[in-house]
Amino acid sequence: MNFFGEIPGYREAIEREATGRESAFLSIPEFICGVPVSALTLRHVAFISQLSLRMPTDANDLSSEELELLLWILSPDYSSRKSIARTFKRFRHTLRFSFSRFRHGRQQIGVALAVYFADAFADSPPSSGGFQVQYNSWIANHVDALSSEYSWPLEEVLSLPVKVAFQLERATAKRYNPKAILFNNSDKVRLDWLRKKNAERINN
Amino acid sequence: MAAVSNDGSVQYGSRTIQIPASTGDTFVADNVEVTRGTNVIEQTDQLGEPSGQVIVDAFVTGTAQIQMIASTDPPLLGEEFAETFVTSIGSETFIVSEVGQPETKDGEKKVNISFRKKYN
Repeated sequence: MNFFGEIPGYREAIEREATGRESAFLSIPEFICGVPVSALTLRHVAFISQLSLRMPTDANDLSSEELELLLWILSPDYSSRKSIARTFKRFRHTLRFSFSRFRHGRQQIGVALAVYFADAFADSPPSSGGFQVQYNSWIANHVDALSSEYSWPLEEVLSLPVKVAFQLERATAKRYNPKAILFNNSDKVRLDWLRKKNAERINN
Repeated sequence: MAAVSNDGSVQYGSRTIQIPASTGDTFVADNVEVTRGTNVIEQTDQLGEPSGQVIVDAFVTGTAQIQMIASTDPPLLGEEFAETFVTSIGSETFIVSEVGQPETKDGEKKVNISFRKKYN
């Protein structure tokens, strides 16, 4: 039996993963329960962190206000500068969100947003575990990695979708060190298989 | 992805391995590389020109990246596993000779290992 035959669902998982990675480069419009959103960028993540907003996950249940604000930050219309146009766009966003909440419900929007964030961070770097002293912000690490490699200015790096940024950093890491340890979202299928396989061995 | 051609049913790419052999945890091994080199004894004449050589097998060594559940410990140095990398050679036993620094993410762990073939 070959490797794909041994681990059910693995082939399909890596096919899905490859499609998702390619689409990150194509600026395909994204929607969360009908509300338009931009691809998550480093700037978005910094904003969310600065506003001390919670990231949606499977485990938490965000309020309507939190979801509305997160979706506004992610909106292609988002602007931090005050203007009449911004007021109109903000109002239009609130209407879209209210309609979406009426149609899909708060929980479903929360789940869709959690999937959006999980997809965006699927290729994020691993950790060695334990506390590590930081001497600069996490943003500086990404700007340094991408700017030094591609000579991109700060603004360009901050506007880069994290799905693209993480992939480029992975490609760079592999180029410099072919044995660099990286994780794939499709690894979860293998992990489930390993859990089952090793549990069977212990039980027998 | 299937190979365009696999002459001799050579095993390649990712695979699952059990460490220690037949009693231990199952791991997924990626980027498996097995090196089957040679040692050369060269003979030259009085002018230093080549006049003969003996080529003998070198030790078989390899590297791999091992995936496991985050709560599972990486293989230990000296643990053995059995694997068939070349069908015509058959199953061989290998000894884990190096274990790198593990990295973890979302409940999984990966570590680079090196191994050497066991001869006796």
